[in-house]
Amino acid sequence: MTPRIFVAVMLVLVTTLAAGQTQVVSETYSPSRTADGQPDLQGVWQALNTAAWDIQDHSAQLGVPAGQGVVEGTEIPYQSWALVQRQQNFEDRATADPETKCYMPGVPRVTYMPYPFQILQFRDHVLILYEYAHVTRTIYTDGSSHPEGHIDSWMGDSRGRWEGDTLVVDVVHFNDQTWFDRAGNFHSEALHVVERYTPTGPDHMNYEVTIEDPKVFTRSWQMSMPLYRRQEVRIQLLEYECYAYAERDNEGVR
Amino acid sequence: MYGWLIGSLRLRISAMTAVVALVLLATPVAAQVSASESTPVNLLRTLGGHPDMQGYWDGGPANASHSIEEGCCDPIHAKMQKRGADRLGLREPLIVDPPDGWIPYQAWAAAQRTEHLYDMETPTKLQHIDPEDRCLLLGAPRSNYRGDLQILQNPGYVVILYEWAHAYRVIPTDGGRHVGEDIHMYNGDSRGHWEQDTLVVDVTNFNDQIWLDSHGSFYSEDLRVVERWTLVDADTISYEATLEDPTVFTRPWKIAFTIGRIKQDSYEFFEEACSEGVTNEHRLAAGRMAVASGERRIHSHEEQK
Repeated sequence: MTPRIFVAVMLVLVTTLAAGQTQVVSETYSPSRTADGQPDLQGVWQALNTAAWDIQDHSAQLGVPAGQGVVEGTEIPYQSWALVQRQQNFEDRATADPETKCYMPGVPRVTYMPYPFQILQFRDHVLILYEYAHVTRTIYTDGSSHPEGHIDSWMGDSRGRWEGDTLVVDVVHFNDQTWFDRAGNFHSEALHVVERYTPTGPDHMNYEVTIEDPKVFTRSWQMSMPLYRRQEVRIQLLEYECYAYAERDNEGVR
Repeated sequence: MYGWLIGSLRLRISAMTAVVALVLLATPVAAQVSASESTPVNLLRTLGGHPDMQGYWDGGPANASHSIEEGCCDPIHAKMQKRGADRLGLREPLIVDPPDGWIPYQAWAAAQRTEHLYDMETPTKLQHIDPEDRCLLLGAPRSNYRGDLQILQNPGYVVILYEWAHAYRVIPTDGGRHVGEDIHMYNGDSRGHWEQDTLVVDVTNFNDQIWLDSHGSFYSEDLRVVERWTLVDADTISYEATLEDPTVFTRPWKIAFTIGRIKQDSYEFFEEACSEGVTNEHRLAAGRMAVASGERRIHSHEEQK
């Protein structure tokens, strides 16, 4: 064991024990650490799947690649009224999808849109910058709680913590204006999202999401997908100013 | 509750780690500071040894985003916003070079700017309306006098977050080159380096869609901005930007102002959604009606007195 790996393993052990967790760290991959001792997730990442079109299994259509769903257990446990709404959304998706209006896409949808995002880490927060519509999320990891609410926001309020090598993010305070995909899967403002970012190698992360919304679903459900580090040597975020391009075409009229 | 406990424990561990790190690093950093005679020794420094500008800042002077030459506002506008006398005009000139405080436009560009002052008052096209009112990214330097900002520093980059429309800039300080010249962006492409204690940022790759203020002050895709960010004391940044654009201006010119720290505890930005709620339909309709009835008029701070 090289000194560097030894230090990394010790840090994991110390952190895990100190956090009062008894589970054995069985992952074979141990990520490098930031100066603050956090697992280093920094860099430019992107999902590589078809969840942006439809988070469930779907066949191809013109302009839509076929895809296997990212929902655990395939089915989304909609309440009966919500299933009807979801079908209506699907039929109206060409105009009803919030993405067509260039709104901020919400969580977790922003993660698996076909644009890169950059993770940056600081002592008391993690910052995620998204190329799509220059969306930003500050994920406070300083032990602070969500502000009291309800507060309507597009990207929610994110409070995070490290569980071993996993960044766990609790997100609430959403509005009911965003969807999960272009196929009409939706939620209410009561949405509660828990994201888990777990490094599985230097260039890969597992992204797991728990969705809870008692107004729309009968129980909580989960999504899971890998995230990939962009390998281009000079990769950097550019701009996708969705609204700016749309307004040019439609004279500012929605 | 359990999550909070873990968070609390982790916080303490982080604090311990930080103490150890500080003890380990104190000696070399102190040596570095005293070695440079021109350096104020009382500045906080990052682990990389650079002045620590991290935190929330209040952005540039009031009214500058309305006009970097004249400030704000006409009497009616001021009355609507309950502005006192101290919030009219500019407290001190923003343009420090040329000394007269006016943008050195080429003749064609001065005429174009006058057109903007007419068009913004009676808009018939979307492009006649100030990009700020359309929620577009405002680029450099305008973002720096539009509202609050947050600076973050890590080895290899500086990040600036703006509360305005959740804009951000990532400024690599690793010596890399700009993106290719055919890429144009609202915020441009920023590359930074440290000249002693000053963060110098070179910004290129702009598009020609953004104004420097609400008075139609404009530039072309050839704009190059060099910003100089200097922490003069713990709570003050001296900011300078030189603008060069051989297509629009007769010579390079310079703005300068100071930025003060926001000292409020537990300060956090709100999500400032902008494009999600904006519409300029009515302004366009009004502008088109005015022009159709022969009432095209110029924006002025004088005419309504």
